[in-house]
Amino acid sequence: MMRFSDKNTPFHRIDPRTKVILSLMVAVLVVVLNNVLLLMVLFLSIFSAYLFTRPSLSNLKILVFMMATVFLSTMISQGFFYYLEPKTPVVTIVSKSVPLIGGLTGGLQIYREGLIYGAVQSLRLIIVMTLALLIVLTTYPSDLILGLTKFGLPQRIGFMLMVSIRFLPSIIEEARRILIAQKLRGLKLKGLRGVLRGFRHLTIPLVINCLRSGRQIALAAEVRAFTERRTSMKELKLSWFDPLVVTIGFLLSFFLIYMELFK
Amino acid sequence: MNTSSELIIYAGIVLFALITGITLYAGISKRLIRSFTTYDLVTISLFITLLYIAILPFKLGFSKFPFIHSFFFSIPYSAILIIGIRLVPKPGATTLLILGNTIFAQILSRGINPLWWPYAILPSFALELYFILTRNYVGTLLNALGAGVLRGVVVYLYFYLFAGPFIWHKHYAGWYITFQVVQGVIASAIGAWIGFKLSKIIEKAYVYGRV
Repeated sequence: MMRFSDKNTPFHRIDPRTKVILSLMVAVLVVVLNNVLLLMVLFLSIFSAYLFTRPSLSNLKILVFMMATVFLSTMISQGFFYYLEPKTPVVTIVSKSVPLIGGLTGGLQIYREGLIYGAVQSLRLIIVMTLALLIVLTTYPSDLILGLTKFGLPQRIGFMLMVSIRFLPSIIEEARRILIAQKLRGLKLKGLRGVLRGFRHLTIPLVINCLRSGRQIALAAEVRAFTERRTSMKELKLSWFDPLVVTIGFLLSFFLIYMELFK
Repeated sequence: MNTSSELIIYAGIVLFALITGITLYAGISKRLIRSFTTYDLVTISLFITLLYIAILPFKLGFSKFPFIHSFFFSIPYSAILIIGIRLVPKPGATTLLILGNTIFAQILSRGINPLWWPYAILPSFALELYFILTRNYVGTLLNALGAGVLRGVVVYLYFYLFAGPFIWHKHYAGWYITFQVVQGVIASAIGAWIGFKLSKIIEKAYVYGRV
């Protein structure tokens, strides 16, 4: 679900650098904002941008499921750990009088105020999650790396990330092949001991095979005179749309921070 | 002072620390990265991918187990990390592995989000310092266990005492934090132990087996 989907929407056409700037803005807002309404405004802005990318129904269903999981888990955890006063217990799970656990935890209760607080705070995680999905769905990974290198990420780290992406499908395939081979030789993966045994029998051949192919890649890079100064087949270009998006992002951020501080 | 002003101050401190840390660290890393050969870089890339794959099952469901999710998550992560450090025992390798894995995961599935970068930078910094001071890159079991414990302490204390309350505005009881930190540390140590045992075999193949 969380992978680039090749479509022609306005958000797909935005330069990766603009998307990185937008992520930074949202990161600041998520920490600073504390008002439910303002958090809702931020969420709705990002969610409407997400809807503009014309996501598939299955994609939307999974996003809603993830949002519901975050919402419920944050609500329950904050329902337990709410510390401000007043707090009204709704459910008592472990009473203070229960030996050991009761004494250790001071009693486990879910508080009504905590549930409400958790529901509000879950919005922060949901905002970050939706933005992540929006960026991942609309940006090709190598373009994002190119964007980051334009922002000062060393070329060598960019190269490392590209190699990592290139290796991902082949390593997964290799791991699958090794596991099948080990199972055919009688490896049993049931139970905790089985999992640990499986990890051992998978890791060693997998890493060794990877190192072998890694040597070939390193040699190939060396013979092509790999240095820090690299040119790229693809050059990023800012369109008229990018400054507009950044300006709208800045204006929205200033508005939300202003409202948080002075209203 | 009202809550909003306090929040702005906290956010300011966090962002200032974040930007200063990243700038300083980037400056040091830029110089350090030149000491890596192309093969070192490719090896680190492989381990970045392996770290991503090692924690994949935890993203697909295991993370929903309440109370003990951090235990199972830390074991494979620490094991792969220790093997990676042992194969590229140079200053800066730990940072490239941990920070590289974070950026890689963000590019592929989590979206670029600087709020999670300190979560990677802090354990990298602590481990780099540990390796420099001990002058040992997981060459002994004790050193590997120490690295595992240190990673566990830094990662879980940072999350429950700082990122949780100040970034995500989530609060946890003292007993819960203790429970999570203890199990995170134990799991990291177990992972380091497994990683050390496996790395000995892999290192032999790496050095003597013409891998």
